[in-house]
Amino acid sequence: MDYAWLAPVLPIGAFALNVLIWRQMGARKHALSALTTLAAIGGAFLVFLAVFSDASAHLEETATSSGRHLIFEGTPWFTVGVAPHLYVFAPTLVVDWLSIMMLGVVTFLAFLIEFYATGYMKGDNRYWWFFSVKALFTAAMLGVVLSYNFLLMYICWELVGLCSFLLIGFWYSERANAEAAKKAFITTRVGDVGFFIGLALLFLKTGTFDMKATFAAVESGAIDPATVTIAGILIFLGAMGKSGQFPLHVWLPDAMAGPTPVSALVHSATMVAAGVYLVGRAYPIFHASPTTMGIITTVGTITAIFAATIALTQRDIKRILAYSTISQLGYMIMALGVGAYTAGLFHLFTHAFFKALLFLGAGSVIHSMEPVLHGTGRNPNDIFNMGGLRKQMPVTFWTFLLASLSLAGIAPLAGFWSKDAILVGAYEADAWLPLIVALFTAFLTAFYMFRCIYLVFFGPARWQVATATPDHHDNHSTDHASGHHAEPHESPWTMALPLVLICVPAIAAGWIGIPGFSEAFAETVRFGPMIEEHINLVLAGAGTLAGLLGIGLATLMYLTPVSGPRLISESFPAVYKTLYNKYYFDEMYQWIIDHVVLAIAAMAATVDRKILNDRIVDWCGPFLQGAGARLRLTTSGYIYHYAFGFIIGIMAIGVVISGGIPDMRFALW
Amino acid sequence: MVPIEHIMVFTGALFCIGVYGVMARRNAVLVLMAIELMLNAVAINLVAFGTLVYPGQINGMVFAIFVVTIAAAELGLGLAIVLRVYRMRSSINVDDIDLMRW
Repeated sequence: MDYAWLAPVLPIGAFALNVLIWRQMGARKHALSALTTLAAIGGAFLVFLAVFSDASAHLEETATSSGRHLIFEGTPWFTVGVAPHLYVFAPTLVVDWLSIMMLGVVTFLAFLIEFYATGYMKGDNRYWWFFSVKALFTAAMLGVVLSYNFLLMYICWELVGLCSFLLIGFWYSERANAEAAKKAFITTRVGDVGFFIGLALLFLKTGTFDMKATFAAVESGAIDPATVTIAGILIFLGAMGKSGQFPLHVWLPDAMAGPTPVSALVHSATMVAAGVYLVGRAYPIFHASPTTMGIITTVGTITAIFAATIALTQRDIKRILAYSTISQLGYMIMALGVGAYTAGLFHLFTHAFFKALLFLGAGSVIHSMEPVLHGTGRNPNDIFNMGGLRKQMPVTFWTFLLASLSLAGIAPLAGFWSKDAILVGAYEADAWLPLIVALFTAFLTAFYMFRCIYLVFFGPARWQVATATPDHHDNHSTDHASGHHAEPHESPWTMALPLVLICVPAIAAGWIGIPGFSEAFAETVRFGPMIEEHINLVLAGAGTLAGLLGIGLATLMYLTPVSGPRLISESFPAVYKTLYNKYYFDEMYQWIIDHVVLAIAAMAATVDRKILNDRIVDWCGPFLQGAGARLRLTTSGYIYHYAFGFIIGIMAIGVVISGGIPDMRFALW
Repeated sequence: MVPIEHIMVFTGALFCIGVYGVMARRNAVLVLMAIELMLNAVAINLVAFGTLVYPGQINGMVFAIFVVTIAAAELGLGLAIVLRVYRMRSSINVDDIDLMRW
């Protein structure tokens, strides 16, 4: 298994190859870089398969000892500190079941999404750059997954952030996209500052960034509990930023500005998974402090319900999915917070597949709507411009439906098992409020997903209405005859094939965690001794019922004529508006930035300009000039003036050396 | 043996005359001569204290020889400079020579 380091190194090599060599290749660079990236990520997937089979062969050992860790010490990079408090930084990698699991998810999804992107991004004039950054992105995420050293993890963590910035703002010529990229970068940075301070705090106490030593110090009580709590909360801030937890969730829906393959990768396996993975990886630090665990639970619970309610009213198909992602991440964080370690990470595992599938399906829909709505001025992402697409796009429809059922938690699809595990975990931890919130969120999740499905794939074809009566605001749009005769069509096979392939784990990924039947996941990914899981029929029934109720309500409201929802939104206009405007969080942050941040900035600018600049910097020059003009008079050029100064100086030195004037007077006497 | 105080008074006076010469003379050659006076005062002091502190040894005298040698070299240089200045300015009045400034 000592070749696991190849997994991140292959894609980073592909990145280097793309930007250093293929870049010079003119028109061929596009095909070359796409192939290189695909090959490298495929290679990383093969590495995963080899590591996985190796680890499975030693499953007996793994089952008996609590989590077998295989750790690789890399070559030392640098040394900091003064003896005897030296710290030698060496990139340390870990291969345990948690990282193997993530290794599989990331490489599998990245490969299929890359493949999908070869079709989706066709014709883009920065095609090669897209694949280069994707390779770096995958490499960074694999680095986060494998690193067993906080500093190395932080480096990769920031690389993930950088790549997401580059990808979200990929079409940066549109201002909104550039703004979204900036927002994602800055918002996650807020959390990362906390992460970094937390790491610094731990380093101060332990003198090492090595996770193993840090966890040992935390568990043995070598660090006082208050520090562990504070460091835990600060590190969790980083996870909140990356995983879009309330109140740092605002960047995630805007991140939809990127190309859809980016959204699929960012919101399933990489960026947002990093936060949950961090909580899972650094669990000993969080677990040691009930306060931290309480905060994690609270944040997760609020996020789960909060984002689900926003998703109810959104019109943009990708935004619905984005809020759904936030909500599901809240689910995972909540599960980790109540102590259901396995359940939280299991949900991370299954969610990655069906959410990637949903995003790719949404991308497929948008891809076919774009030519249809071209020139009408209507948004191809708006689900109210779609409808009836199940006939034109059968593959997309069926895969999207399966993924939605999985997300809604309908047995026996993947989402059911992980969601059930979380419910059981919350129940066993006696966390009633999170349990009720989780059930209600499950209901909302099913509702908004089927609202989306009914509006996109069922009902009247509203895009026909859209094309038949073009917006009367721009009459010239009728001239664009080419767009108007277009019909939605199924996507090319490069895009349809990944949909079908990801469908397999979206259905079956949950089957490795069926309580009492196949407990491979619970045996391997766990914290402390293995917990005997048993199915709780009441909770499973309640979860399924919540899902079915949501689907039923959506059927009633959206499959039958679309007057139902309008009635509700009109009877509660304030509620509807609040939800539609995402609880005005963006406006609130904008207000804070405008009135607080900019006010502080203006004060700082005043201090800088009026005091530092006008008073101090500007005063330096004239002062020195004046002093120089005066001192210059002393250099007359006459020899005897200099000689006079010389003699006075000699006499002064003589006085000082002989011990001062009084002594000399006595000596002379 | 001449008492050391006498020698000190003598060399002190000689040195002060040299200082006065450097400060007050306008003729550059006279300034150089005044510098010679100061150097001689120092040399006499070296010899006197040398015999006082290390009787029977020649440390002070060796230093005095050094001083005389360096004085000769310095005078050679100084006179050469004065000559060049005279060529340039047609004067060796130090009031006219203010080249050593900003």
